[in-house]
Amino acid sequence: MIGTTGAEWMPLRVLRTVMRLPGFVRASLLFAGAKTGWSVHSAGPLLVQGAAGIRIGDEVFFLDGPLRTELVCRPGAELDVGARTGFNYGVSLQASRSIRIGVECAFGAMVRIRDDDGQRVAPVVIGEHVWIAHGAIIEPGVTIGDDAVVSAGSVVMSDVPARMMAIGNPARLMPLGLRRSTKAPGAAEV
Amino acid sequence: MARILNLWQRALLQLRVAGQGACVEVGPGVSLLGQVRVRGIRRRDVLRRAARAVSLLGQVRVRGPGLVRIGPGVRLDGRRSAIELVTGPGAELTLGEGVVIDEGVSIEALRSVRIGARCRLGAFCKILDNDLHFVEGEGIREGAPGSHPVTLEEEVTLGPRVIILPGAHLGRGTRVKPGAVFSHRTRAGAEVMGHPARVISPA
Repeated sequence: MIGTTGAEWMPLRVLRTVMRLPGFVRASLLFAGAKTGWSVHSAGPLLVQGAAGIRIGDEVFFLDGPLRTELVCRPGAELDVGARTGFNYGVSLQASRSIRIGVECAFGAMVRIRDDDGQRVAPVVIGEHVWIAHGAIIEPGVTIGDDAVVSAGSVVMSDVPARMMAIGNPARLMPLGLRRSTKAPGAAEV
Repeated sequence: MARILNLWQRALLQLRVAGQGACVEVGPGVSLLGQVRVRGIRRRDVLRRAARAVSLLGQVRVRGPGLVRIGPGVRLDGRRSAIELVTGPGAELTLGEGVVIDEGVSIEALRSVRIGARCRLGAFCKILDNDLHFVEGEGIREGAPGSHPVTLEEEVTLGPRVIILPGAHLGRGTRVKPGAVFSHRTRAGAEVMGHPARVISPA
């Protein structure tokens, strides 16, 4: 996710959009049968199962990488992804009953979310502007509030309130901004 | 048959790398086997010497405009799952002599990641020198925060699924247990475990 900043030369922007066309076409083919918004983009292959229960919002994008993202929605289940949410590669979403993801969330690579762990089935709800970092795992029945952050490699087993950060395995909660305000990363020995 | 295929892919790789004027610098003694994708590389030069003893097995993806330095005797084994090396503009990613990298490892350098000689990286490790998103507010998609270079000194061993976060500096011979998530500095010979990670030895 290396974003470009600043104004761009107009023809270049047009060219960029044209270059992205295959991604839009790919997404529309992959999500055939699902309810998708406009401008859904997929830079690489995806695994989509049970498209009937999947709803994808506007401008959702999927990045390409070494592993493909999978969206699995069992019969009768619902998998709802809000507008302008972004997925890095290798994300796994498996819905047996319900997974709902809010708008403008960011998913790191290899995040796993499922609502069925073989013993219980409980819906997963993820709020708006949530950032779930690389390799995090969300267990069934978890609700994550708006603007929350799940740190890399965390295993989230309980609810995360709005504007909190979940960190660790098992995940513990801390208020946002604490880590940055204490010291620069790598500053001291532990 | 496999050998012929490898030779063919090797030729293909060299064509691709040469064609894009890639900035991948490969040490002496390198052999390139399997599929290596080099994408989005704009900067001129440098495939210095296509040499023998570095082995790139399976799929290795190199992306971004930065400089990737691969030392002699490096082994990148992406046969079961692809290895990803990503660099940002002006960034430098250095793999020292004799580094061994298992499948699914992803290294992202937006400024500098240095992996010292004889390091071993387990399967599905992730090394980042930038958080890529701001933690606060709605900055999720407004550019990236500052980078903090990551250094692994010589003979560091990372277990499978270890995540090394921006600013980490692992001293010589540090061993990181599987699944640990670490962003600090360790002394030589330390042992690191858990998430959030703690140093378990020397006590």
